[in-house]
Amino acid sequence: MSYKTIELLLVEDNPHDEELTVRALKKHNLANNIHIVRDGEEALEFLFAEGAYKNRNMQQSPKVIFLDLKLPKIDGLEVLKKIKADDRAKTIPVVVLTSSEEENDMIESYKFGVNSYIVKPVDFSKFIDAVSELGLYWLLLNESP
Amino acid sequence: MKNKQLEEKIQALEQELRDRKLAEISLRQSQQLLETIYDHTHIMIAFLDTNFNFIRVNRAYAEADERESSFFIGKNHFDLYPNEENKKIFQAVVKTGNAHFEFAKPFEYVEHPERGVSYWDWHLAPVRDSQGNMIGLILTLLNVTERIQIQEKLKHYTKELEQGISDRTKELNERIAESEQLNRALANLLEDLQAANHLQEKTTKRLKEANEELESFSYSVSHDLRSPLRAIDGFSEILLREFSEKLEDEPKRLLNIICQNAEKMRQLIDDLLKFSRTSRKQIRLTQINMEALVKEVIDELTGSEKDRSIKFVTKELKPASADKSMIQIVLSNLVSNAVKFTRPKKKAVVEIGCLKEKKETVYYVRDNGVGFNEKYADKLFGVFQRLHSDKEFEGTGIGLGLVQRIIYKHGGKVWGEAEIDKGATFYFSLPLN
Repeated sequence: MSYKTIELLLVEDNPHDEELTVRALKKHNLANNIHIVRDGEEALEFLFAEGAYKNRNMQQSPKVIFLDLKLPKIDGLEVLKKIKADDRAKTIPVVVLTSSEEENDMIESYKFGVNSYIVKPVDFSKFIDAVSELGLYWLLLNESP
Repeated sequence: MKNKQLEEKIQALEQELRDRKLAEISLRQSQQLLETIYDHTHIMIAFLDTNFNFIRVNRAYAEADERESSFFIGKNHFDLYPNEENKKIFQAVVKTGNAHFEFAKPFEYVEHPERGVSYWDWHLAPVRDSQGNMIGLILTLLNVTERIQIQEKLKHYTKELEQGISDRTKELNERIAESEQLNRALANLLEDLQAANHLQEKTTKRLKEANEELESFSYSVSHDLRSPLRAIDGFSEILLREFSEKLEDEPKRLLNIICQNAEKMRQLIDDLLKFSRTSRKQIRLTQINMEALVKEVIDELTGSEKDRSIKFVTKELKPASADKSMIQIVLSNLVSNAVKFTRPKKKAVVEIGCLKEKKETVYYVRDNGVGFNEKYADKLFGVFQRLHSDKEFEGTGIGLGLVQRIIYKHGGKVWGEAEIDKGATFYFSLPLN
């Protein structure tokens, strides 16, 4: 797959949540240009074209990042902080998509400049609806710089 | 010449006569002075011959003995004042020619014992003529009885004072010992207190650790337990939706059970989280319009029970000083319980009111539902404690536990009364301030 066309970066370590998310996006044909990374380190390497992604053109930014908070190696809040502190990446919309309803996580995320904070519904129907709406909104409706 | 010599002689004689006259006058004057002193001094003076017979005594001497001066002349001293010891001293003075001095010497009249002991300073000195022969003795005396008595008294007082001081000192020492003992007791107490403080610090630390553990636990619950649950529910749903035509009825029924239980578990996790979050939350007091809040709660709840006939009666409610979001949880739980447990009744009535007490306001939610056996009243507020089966009434058993936790945090009380099949009333009190 060419990284040029990547529209959505999904940062998710749980393969089952990943599959459910991708299924929901597929329903609206939004899953074609999706790239999945499984920890915080890989997410940052992808975004800043480092390590395994050093050949990627950094100018080609995804339209949106769906970010889980509880991640191996570097956690989601740290990833968010790095993105929003870097001039090259700070304009990319970041949606925190997490199971955590903790108030602290939410407050910290907004402090770091998150664009949206969504608690993953446990109920499958609600989950499908939420992810579909997110995809539609950020990939089709929203205009990014 | 002869005349001249005679004249000179006469002159010399006249001069001598004048000188003698002057000397005589001077002698008479000094004698007068001596006599004046002799008669007016308070010191007793007696002139004795060497056999101790009185030659003369002064006024002070005679008055001291309440006699005339003439009485003494020719009488022997030791006939008047017999005292063997003194006699020996007098004899020694005559023999040696050395004066003798006594200081505060006690004397007792043998013939007048009623006079008691008197004390005397006295001096006995020999008197000699121009040739140096002893012609008599001068005895001077001073009665110092009073002085001695005062001294004795003084001694006595001093002794008393010393005794007093010693007594006080002893007392003081006892007090000091007592206070030292008290001090020691205090020190022990202080030590105990410090130990208790230390223990409390340790307990507080442990409590804090336990709290932190609980927090991280509830975080895990919120995050880690939900993901697998979402997978269980999600993939069962996918099977049911996308592979429906390949499934027979029984596998479909089983999958539905899985989904229902996933939903039930989600509810439990959410309630558990709500409970732990409320327990940790600080309360923020504001003035709450309880009537408005009750209305809000009722409107929210009746949306899902449209097909039922429920009559809500809201009495006049006193405003409360409490944390609004928490009291909303309390009312929501109590009213939804009332709605739930009146379900078998054709005409459900839920009444919300308040009773004003002196220091608190008691609010209540009353229903005409299924009630409960009062024997289980104390179990109502236990977390996950239920009095009905899931088949009768759904629920996680968290609601009343949460209500109790919130009311306790506000310094109030919560209790319930009921009769089976007649209804239940739940009360909660909030302090006035």
